[in-house]
Amino acid sequence: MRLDATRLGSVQHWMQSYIREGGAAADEAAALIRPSRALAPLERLDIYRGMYELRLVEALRADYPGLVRLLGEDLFDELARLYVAAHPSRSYTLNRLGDRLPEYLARVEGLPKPGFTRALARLELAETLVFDEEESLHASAEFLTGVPADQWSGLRFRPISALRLLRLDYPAHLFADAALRPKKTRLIVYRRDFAVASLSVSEPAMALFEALAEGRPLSDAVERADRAKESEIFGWFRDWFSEGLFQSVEAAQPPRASASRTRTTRATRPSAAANPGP
Amino acid sequence: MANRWNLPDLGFGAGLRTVHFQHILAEWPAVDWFEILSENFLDTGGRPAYVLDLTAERYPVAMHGVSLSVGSTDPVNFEYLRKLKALAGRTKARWISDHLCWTGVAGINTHDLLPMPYTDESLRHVAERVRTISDYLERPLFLENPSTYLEFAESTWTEWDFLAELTGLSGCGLLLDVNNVYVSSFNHGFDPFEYVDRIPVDRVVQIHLAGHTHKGTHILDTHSDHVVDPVWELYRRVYQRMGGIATLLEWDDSIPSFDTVHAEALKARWYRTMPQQEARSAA
Repeated sequence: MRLDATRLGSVQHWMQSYIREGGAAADEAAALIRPSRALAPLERLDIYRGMYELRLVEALRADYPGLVRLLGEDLFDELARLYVAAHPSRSYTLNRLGDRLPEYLARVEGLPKPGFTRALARLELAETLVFDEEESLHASAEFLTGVPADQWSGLRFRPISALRLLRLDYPAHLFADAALRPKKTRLIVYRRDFAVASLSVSEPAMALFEALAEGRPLSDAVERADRAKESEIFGWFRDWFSEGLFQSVEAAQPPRASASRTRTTRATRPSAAANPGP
Repeated sequence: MANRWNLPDLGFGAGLRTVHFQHILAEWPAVDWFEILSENFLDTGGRPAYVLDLTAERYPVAMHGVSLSVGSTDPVNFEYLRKLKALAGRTKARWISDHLCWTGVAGINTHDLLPMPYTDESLRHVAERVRTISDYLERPLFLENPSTYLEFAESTWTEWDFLAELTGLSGCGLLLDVNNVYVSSFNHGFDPFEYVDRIPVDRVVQIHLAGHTHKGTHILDTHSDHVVDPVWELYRRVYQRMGGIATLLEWDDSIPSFDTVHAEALKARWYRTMPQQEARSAA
């Protein structure tokens, strides 16, 4: 990139290009930058170059601690540098820097334990997204007691915002030696009391929840549950309500117990004392 | 001595950092005020937002950003400003600050505070952008002097004269980072006392203090340690010249307990009030 040291735009584009990509730049640096008592112009610019890589790699390490542990720091850092070169930050926040890392890893050849690595990357991305999502009100299962039986089929369940559904080829949430063996894994990643958690579910339960998340009425959603017993389905809903996975339930007509509204919600922001750190 | 906006001396504050959330919620420590790193709260609706809302109910809050990129030749990012403005409204922020720097061009953010050449072109460019940003935010903008590790051959202004001129041209105020003055003075070989003596008194609404890392050939602004004595002496000079100004202790790497951070911030009170020798021995 050609440098005109007298023009601000040219200086900025050239500097950024060197900071991101390096290369031979001693002559340009000498024209652009004054030496200090101890450092030559290019050495002074290299301070910024070194900090750029360090800062972005550290941000990715923070978002993907499991991958760091799985791959080791050296390999993770090498991958992170390649990723940042391909996908530089275009946001005012570093929180979104790693959003495309799973997609990037899907194209990288020669990864150790590639299937598990990719599954873990997808899980850790889901966790950071869930961590940052808006807090939702939580629907109470008590609402269901007021819904007439003939209206159950039309119920629509709206999941909380801080929730993602994952179909993985490995149980990445059980990050241990055993988890390295392939196993179809279905996870609901969600946030409860500001802590990120995951719930492993069967394929029929996953299919049912996906249908609900798409806005389908209960009758349609249950059809996706592929011959699940009614008692199983009741059990799933009991768990899901218990974990606060729905922010609202809507009936076609108001339930008898609360005729004046079509949804029931309760705020569940926890007390500070009961709120462990992420 | 009041600044021209009559913004208050909030006392001695600390940064609101994730590692201290649990302590702050449990203890509600007797710190005078908190500064938030704006970008950490712009796009999160989880625990950080919850803690911030509770904190803002109990303490004065000021917003400090790192991605405004006021010196960049890229267009101003109004989506970022929209979120900044909304956050300021939600937290009743006393003021919004960022840095005299650029963070990227061509749509890329390096997430570093990159230095400006101090030229007439830069002065006009930054002044115009400050006016645009202040108009959008409907409040004055306060810019911090960054730590810098290089100087441009084309610069025709000293940093302190550039800042003083910028305040007049753009209407902006200043967040004077005393540690940054010291860091840059070592890196570039100027007199830090001359720097603080030339800053327009009525433009400064906040002071930053922090620790740094001495690398021998240069100093890095790492916010990773206690404030060193020469920076405290510089702070004393600023106080003698400017009077009481809201003072914030930054500690962002190897962060110790909140009590340690707060105690470091409170040393500033000693340096405001104690004679030179006593303050040195007390600290």
